Amino acid sequence: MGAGQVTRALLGAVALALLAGCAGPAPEVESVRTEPSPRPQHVLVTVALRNASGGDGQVEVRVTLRERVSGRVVGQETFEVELLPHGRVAVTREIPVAATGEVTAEARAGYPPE
Amino acid sequence: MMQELWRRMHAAVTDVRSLRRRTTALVVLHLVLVAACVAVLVLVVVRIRLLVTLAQRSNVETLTLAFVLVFTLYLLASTAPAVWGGLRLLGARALGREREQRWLQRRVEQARRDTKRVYLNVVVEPPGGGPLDLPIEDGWGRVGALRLDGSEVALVDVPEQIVNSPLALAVVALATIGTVEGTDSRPQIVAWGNVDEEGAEQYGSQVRAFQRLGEALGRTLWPVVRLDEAGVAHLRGVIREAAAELREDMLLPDIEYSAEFTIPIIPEPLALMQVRREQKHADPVATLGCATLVVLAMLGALGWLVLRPPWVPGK
Repeated sequence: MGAGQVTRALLGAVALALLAGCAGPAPEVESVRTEPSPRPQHVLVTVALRNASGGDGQVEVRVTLRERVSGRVVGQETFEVELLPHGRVAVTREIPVAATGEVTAEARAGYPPE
Repeated sequence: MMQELWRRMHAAVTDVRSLRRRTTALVVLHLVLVAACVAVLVLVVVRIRLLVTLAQRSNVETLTLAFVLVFTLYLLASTAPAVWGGLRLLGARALGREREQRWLQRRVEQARRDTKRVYLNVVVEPPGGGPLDLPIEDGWGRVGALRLDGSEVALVDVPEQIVNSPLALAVVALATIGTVEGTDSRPQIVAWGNVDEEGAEQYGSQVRAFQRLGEALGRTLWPVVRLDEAGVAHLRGVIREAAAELREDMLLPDIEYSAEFTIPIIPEPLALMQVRREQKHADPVATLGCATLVVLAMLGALGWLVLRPPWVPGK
């Protein structure tokens, strides 16, 4: 292997290392659970997140609450969560709802926070 | 490394087959470039929110995205005639050689005419002296003529879209069939009329002045390449064989430029120190190849950012 090839290989390795080192998190929602809140017109939502990447950082989680019967959106909240490399975290938030019936929750996690 | 890449991207014209390969390479490059530009545009438009967020969080100017959009749109607009020509050429080739050449010849006859000149480092001396006119024609018809007059090599009365690069074919032939006197260098093009018209005229006049001075003194002052009858016959055959490739070349517009390589030691806007290197004539395959590589690199970088967003500071 010539000097030129070694230089190119080293430059390529450094570039790859830099790219890998600069990676951000890749959030995935593992589960969403709802339970009644002691406060009226509120619901406790627990979102379990997993970071599929070796990079850390702040991710944005958007929870949408729907009335089970009608499917109407009755609550929404967006919040930021810090994720560690390949880390798992469960976050519970108390979200106000504009309905009295049973609600379902769906959560989406995105990176970077907009 | 960049110079090696640049050198490798050149599609040197050495024979008629290489001329055809060069035309095919240009068509393929145009199509790849357009596909890459469209992909970049789609990626930026579809993922604009993500890219703007990344740009603003990472302190990269959001205007960079506007530059990417303008740059790719500019490339799309400026290469549109060549892309259209390339597609028509591929379509014509699909018809078969006979129908393709008959169709192209009809276009040759309707095209606006021009004369393309380049100048050699040597003067050409055919048997009997004076200018040598060789018709560029084959069984499908006449395209124009090749004129060798002193140091001038010209495509005379050819469709204006035909570029100068095919003239390199005649120069390569001269190097093999002619006898060079007065220099150790092989015949080569040193001034390109379509790239630097004034400079080429200036050089041509200088050579003509030396020729007149030589005639007055009864001596040959400028280096010369002498041709014999066999050499002229060989050149005539090469030009005849190249007529079909020149017809194809007509569908691709003139994209021959000079090239300048700049390495800023102290970057803009100060630019107090820069290393520069210029090339009078840049092979279109290499320049277009570079543009294609830049757009592909841009596409790769944007794709990487979209698929694997990098770390940015939180809110």
